[in-house]
Amino acid sequence: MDESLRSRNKINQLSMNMEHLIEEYEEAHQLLSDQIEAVIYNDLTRLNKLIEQQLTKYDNLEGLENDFKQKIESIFDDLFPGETTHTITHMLKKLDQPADKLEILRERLHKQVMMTQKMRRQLVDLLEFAREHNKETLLSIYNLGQKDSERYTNTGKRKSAELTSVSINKKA
Amino acid sequence: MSMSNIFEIARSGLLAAQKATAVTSQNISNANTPGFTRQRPKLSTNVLRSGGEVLGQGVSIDLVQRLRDNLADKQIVKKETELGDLNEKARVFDQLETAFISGSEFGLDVAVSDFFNAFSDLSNNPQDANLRNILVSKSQSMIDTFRNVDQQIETIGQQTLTKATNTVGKVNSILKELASLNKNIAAAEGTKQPNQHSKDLQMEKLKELSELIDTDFTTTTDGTVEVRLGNMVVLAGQEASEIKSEADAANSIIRLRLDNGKLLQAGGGSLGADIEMFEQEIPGLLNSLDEVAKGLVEEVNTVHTSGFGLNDAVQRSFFNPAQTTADSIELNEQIANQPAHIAASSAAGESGNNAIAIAITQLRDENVLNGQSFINNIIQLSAKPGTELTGLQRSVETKESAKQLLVKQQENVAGVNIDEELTNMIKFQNSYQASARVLNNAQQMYDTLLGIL
Repeated sequence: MDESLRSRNKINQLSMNMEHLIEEYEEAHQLLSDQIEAVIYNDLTRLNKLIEQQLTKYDNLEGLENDFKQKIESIFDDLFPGETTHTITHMLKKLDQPADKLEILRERLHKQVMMTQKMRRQLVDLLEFAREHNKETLLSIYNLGQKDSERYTNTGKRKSAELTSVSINKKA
Repeated sequence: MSMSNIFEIARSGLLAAQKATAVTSQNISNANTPGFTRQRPKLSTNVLRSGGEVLGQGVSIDLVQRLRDNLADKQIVKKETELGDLNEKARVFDQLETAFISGSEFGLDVAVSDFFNAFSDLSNNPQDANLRNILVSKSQSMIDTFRNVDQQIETIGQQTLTKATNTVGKVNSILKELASLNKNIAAAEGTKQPNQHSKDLQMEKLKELSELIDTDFTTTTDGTVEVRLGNMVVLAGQEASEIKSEADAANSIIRLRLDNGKLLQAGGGSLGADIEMFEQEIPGLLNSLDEVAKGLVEEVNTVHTSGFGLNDAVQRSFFNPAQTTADSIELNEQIANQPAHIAASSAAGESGNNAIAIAITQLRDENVLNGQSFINNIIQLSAKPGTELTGLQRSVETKESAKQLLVKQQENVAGVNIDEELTNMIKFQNSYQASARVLNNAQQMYDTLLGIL
């Protein structure tokens, strides 16, 4: 096959791969946004479902990214052997023919990854807060039922420190 | 225990849950009604007495609900303080960003660049009177821009001080309102008919206060609140302290003083933010701007005073060496009045000699200030408010989400079973941890992809 035709094919495949990555990152972004909502609304069922979907999404993304990396390596091996910097930006500088589509895709993908990263950070911070608050609440409730935790009625009598939902026959 | 007792406990639990749902529905439908008081179903213990035996439960779900509410209230108040601080800083940084307008035709970096370009043009034809006039004009534009940026930042500083003073007034006003609410609540408790509306208003006022200043409060047994600001009691019972603000504009200091003479730290909230911006960030920007102006005056003068103008052998400074701040920088009057005195030549009487003009032009790209060129210093300075703003906006989003989570938790009515509540909380804890683990493992992936792009 003609060398330049093969290279053009590889660049086209790279473009398709990037389009696919953009779509996947858009979905990943939405998943993260949905998880934030699930945490805020204390919707455990929805949160667990989204975590599973997130795991699957990351598996897909990892596969696509490995594919993406391999395609770039292959293009550099064919067109620019000896080059050590294997990035899309560098490729765009070296290409003879116009590569407007590739440039646009690069910008879109970069923007989408940054937005997704930002949403991820927001969710991580929220989860950290939720865990700490939950932990503090659990500890406080636990301490209610401790013998050392003294409570009194407003007439000065000591209150029972038992933390139980079962009726107890005290006389027995 | 008899079977009938067990069934009775189960049935009362179901009835209580139904009642709880009815109360929740009422809360939701009236949520936007002004003055509507949120109600909670009271699920207190049922005690049976039979033949001298007392069959009763231990700690009630009601107590657990109150504990959760109190913890959530404390956290919400804390979030209000954090958000008040972040939003106010974002507002001021937004104004400061506008003051620089970098990159446009009005930006300081452009003005400095034009100044050096004018010297470069002069080096191509040192005798050209028109080029000399243009250089004087560009120099004056640069000076005007320095002064303009400085003045805008100073104005923002003044506005920040005024806002802080007004906020102190608001704090005092809220403390008085809380004192009045304390009176109402205490009186109602005394008649054994709690005033729920006043209690809800009390919490709203505490949130309002915490947005302005770092607030700590304790609710006493009669429902009144004791409020501490900066670890000092400012409200106890019906006694509210008054805070005065003292401004030392010359030294960029704002002090808060209680009526007992003691100084108070704002700690956070919008008042804390304004104080921090007035005392640290704004003076920091002004100092950095002055540093650039001083550097420019001294470096250009050092080269210029070694050169000669067209008409005589007098060596002159380009800028007035006594004025080295952004608001005072000015041309040497002799240069402003007579552009022929601009030193382009390194030797007297050599009108075609351009060595000094070239040397001054080269200052543009030399790393003469803080290891960078003048223009890069200005770009970095101009970018600072915008960078801070981006970081603050991210933090605001996170804190808002956390606050919404707490508010939603308070809106959820607790179940009737403590074990169920605790189990749910543990399930949530596990899910939070699982989600966090998935997210942390993915970070590497983002970094790898960005590295390839």
